[in-house]
Amino acid sequence: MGDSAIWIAVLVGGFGTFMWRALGVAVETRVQEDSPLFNWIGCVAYAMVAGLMARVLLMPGGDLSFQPFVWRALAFLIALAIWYRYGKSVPIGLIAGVISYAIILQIKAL
Amino acid sequence: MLKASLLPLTHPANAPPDLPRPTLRGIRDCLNVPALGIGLTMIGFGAMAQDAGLAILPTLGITTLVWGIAGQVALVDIHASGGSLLALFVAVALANLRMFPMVVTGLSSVTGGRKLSVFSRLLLMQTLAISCWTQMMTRANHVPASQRLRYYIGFAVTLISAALLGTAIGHQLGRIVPQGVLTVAIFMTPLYLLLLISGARQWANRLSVIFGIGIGLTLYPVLGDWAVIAAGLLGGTLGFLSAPRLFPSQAKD
Repeated sequence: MGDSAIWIAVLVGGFGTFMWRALGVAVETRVQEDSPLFNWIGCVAYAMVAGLMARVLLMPGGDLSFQPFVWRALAFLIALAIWYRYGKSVPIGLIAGVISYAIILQIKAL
Repeated sequence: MLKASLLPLTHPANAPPDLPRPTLRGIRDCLNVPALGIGLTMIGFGAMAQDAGLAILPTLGITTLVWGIAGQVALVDIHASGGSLLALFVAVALANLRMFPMVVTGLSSVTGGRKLSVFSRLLLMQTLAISCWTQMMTRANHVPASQRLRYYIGFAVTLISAALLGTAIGHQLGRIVPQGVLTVAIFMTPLYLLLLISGARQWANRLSVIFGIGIGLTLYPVLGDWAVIAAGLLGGTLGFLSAPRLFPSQAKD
């Protein structure tokens, strides 16, 4: 694995993210704020982030096995319920989810 | 009301007061779950890169230039397994396609309506990450438009610093962090971001989040990384179209 090979890979990868950002900057000035198109793009962004984060949370590293998925989903649902119950407080929901997940991991390890 | 989707103020009269030090406030808001989450995530990434035989400088270069954990992991994975540059490019580009709608919707809430050169806008958006975008869309309503740029720079620079620090720590001593701690820590960031976006102010966005989660999880076993794009396009369109029907009182168009 040569030194230059990895740097070329870094630059190619860097371009793979830069091009979307540059395209976004170019398009942004042409889309009127709060127009239906703008709001639709916003919805796509929300759905994309949600889809990716849910996958990373519940199937980390592409883990498709069913039981770990159910346990992680349980911790997520506990977090969501407590977040909702306590005035949509993100810190409270987050702590509830992380503690639930830590407890679930402990029980599974026993 | 014109910018209701960006600056979630119900009345213009409720415009937030000026912050005494907007940059410092951005730094402070980041030195919380966002910086901790990205630091721990990047410890995991640094350890992974070290395992794959990468030196520390290219590893830090990946964090800086690819800037997004999904793309970073894909890059190291494909490089280590000897995949082609084309495969590497496609995988990273796919993992980062979300940056396009994030930039289109996030840029004006970062600049606060200020006119900036193309170079400055490119530079600003090169630092955009899911945490920054979510912060600006859902949490930065206490920052007046004129101070948003400084607030964002404080936030984003702190986030990147935490990421580089985490990458370096992970690369040098990743193995001293117990696996259990890393597993729980890595659970924290996506959970934090999911809770933040679930609290989106507009029903169209909230519904998009729900549809995005459902479609993303259902299609991932079939489509792999393409599922994120399907989740975005399908889920976002469903959310956009169904919100005015389900919640007509809030419909604006």
